[in-house]
Amino acid sequence: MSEIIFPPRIKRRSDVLYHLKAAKFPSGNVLYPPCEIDPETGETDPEIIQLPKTGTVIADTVQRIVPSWMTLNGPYHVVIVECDDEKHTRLMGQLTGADPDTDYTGWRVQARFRRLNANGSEGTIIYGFKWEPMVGPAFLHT
Amino acid sequence: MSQVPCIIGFGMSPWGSEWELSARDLIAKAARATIASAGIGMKDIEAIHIGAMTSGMFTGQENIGAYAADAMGIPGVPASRHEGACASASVAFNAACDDIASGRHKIVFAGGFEKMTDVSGDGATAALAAASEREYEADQGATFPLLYALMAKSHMAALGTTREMLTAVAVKNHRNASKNPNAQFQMEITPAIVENSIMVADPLRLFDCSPITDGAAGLIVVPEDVAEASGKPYLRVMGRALVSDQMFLHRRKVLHEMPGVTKAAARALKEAGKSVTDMQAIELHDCFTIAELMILEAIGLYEPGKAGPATVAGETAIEGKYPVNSSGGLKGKGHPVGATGAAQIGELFLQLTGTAPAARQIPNNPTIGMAVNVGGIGTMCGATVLEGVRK
Repeated sequence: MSEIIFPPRIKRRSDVLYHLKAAKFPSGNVLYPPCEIDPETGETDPEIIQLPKTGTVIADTVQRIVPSWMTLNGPYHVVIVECDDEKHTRLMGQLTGADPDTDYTGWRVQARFRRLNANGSEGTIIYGFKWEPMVGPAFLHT
Repeated sequence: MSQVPCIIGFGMSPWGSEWELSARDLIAKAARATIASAGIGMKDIEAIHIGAMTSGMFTGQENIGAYAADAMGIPGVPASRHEGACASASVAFNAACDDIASGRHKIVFAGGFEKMTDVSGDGATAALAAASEREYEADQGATFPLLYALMAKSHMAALGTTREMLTAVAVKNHRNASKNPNAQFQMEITPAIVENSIMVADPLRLFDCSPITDGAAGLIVVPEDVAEASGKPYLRVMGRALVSDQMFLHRRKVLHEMPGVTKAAARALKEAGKSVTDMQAIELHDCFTIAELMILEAIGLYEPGKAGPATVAGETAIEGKYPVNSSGGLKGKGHPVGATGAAQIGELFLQLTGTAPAARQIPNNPTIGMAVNVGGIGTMCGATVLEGVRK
C-alpha cells in the first residue's frame, strides 16, 4: 500500500519542514511543529521561531520491516532529537548517513536538507530535514 | 438518582484470521454470544454503542452505528460508533454506562469490532499508523512498533529493563492464551522463539508484537436492579475513567511513562474506593511486550523498573500475586483493535464471577479487578474497576 499525500498537505507543512519552524509561547514553552494553543498551559498566540539545525539524539531505533509508504528507504533510523535551543526543543526525524547497526543515542547531529519520501510513481516528492551524525569523538555527547 | 452500571453478559466472535467472516458476520456472532450469555433476546437491547478504530481503512465500511444495528437484526434502535484508536471499545463502554447511569436506557449493548485482514499486512500497518500523530511523526516513518521501540529503549536505558523481561511477558501471555479457546494463538512459546523471531524495530521482535486480528466482542450493560432480577452472576462497575493525552511522542517529558494511564487508573480507583493492590485480576493493554511493563508501572502496581523483574519471577502469572492478562492478553488472545477493550472487560466478567474455564480460572475466588485499555501511545486511556457479584 502506498499512500498518496496530495499537494495541500505538503504545501501547508513546507515552511515548517524546510525551516524547522516552531511556536514559542509567552511562558517560554517551545513546541515543534507550531500550534495555536500550548496544550500544557493553554496559552495562545505564539511567536514563530526557527530552531537551530544542530542537536543531540535522545532516542533511536531502526525500523527493519519497512512499510511500503516509505518508498525511498531500506531499514531506517527514526530518532528523537533535542535541538540546541535553550529549551532543548524536541522533534522526531530520520537519520541520514547512518549505520543501521549503530545506536546513535547520545550522538550530536546536524540537520541536512534531504528527500524525505515520495508518494508512489506519480506522487509528489517530500523534502525536509534529516539528521546526520556528526562523526568523531569530539562530537560525542556525554 | 444515578444508577450503578452492571454487566450481565459477555460474548465474542471467533478471533483470528477469519477470512470467511465479514465485519457484519463478526458483529452478529459476537452479539448472539453476548445475549445468550445475558439470557436476553436481541430485541431487548435498547441502544448500541460500538467501537471501531478505522473500519474505513480496513474494510471501506463506515456508518458503523447503523451497520451494527442492521447486522444485529435490530434496525431502529439508537446506535453509535465510537473511536479512540485501540481504546475504541472502552469509549463505547463508557457511553453505555452513561446511558445506564442517567436512567436513559435499561439494557444497552456495548462492544467493538475490527476486520483487519481484508488488507495486506502493510495496509494494516498504514491503517494503524492513523492513530499516531500523522503529519509529523508517522510521515517521518514512525510505525507503532517503532514508537513503542523508542519507549522500550528509553525504559531499558533508564530503568535497566532487559530482553529477558520482555520475553517473559510474551511467554506468560501465550501460556495463558493456550488455555483460552477463544484466543488467536492457543499455543505456548519458548523464550528462544521470541528471541530468534525477526526484528521489527529494535529492540522489538515479531513475538514482542500483538497480531493482526479479525474479531468482535460485546457486553450487556444494565442497572443493578435488572442485574439482580436476572438471578445470574454479574459485574458491578465500581469506577471508570477515560483520559486523553497529547499525541506527539517527542513532546512527552519521559518517553517510557504513560501519564494518561496513570491518571485514568487513579480516577477509576478513587471512584471505586480501592487501591491498585486490591486488584485480584488485571487485564491490560499488551500491544507490545514493553507496554505491559510500562502500564503495570503507570497504574502504580510496581515502582518504575520493577515490573520486569516481577514478571520474570512469576508474580503476574495466573497463579501469581497479581494475575495479569489471564485471557492471553492482546499478545496471545489477539488484538482486533476496536474490540479489545470489550474483551478485556469480558475476561474479567468470567474471572470475577467464577465462570472462567477451569484451566485459566484465577485461584482463590477473585472478585475485584481492573481493565486498562490504551489507544495509540497512551493518547486515549480507559480504566475500569469491576466487582463480581457471584450467585
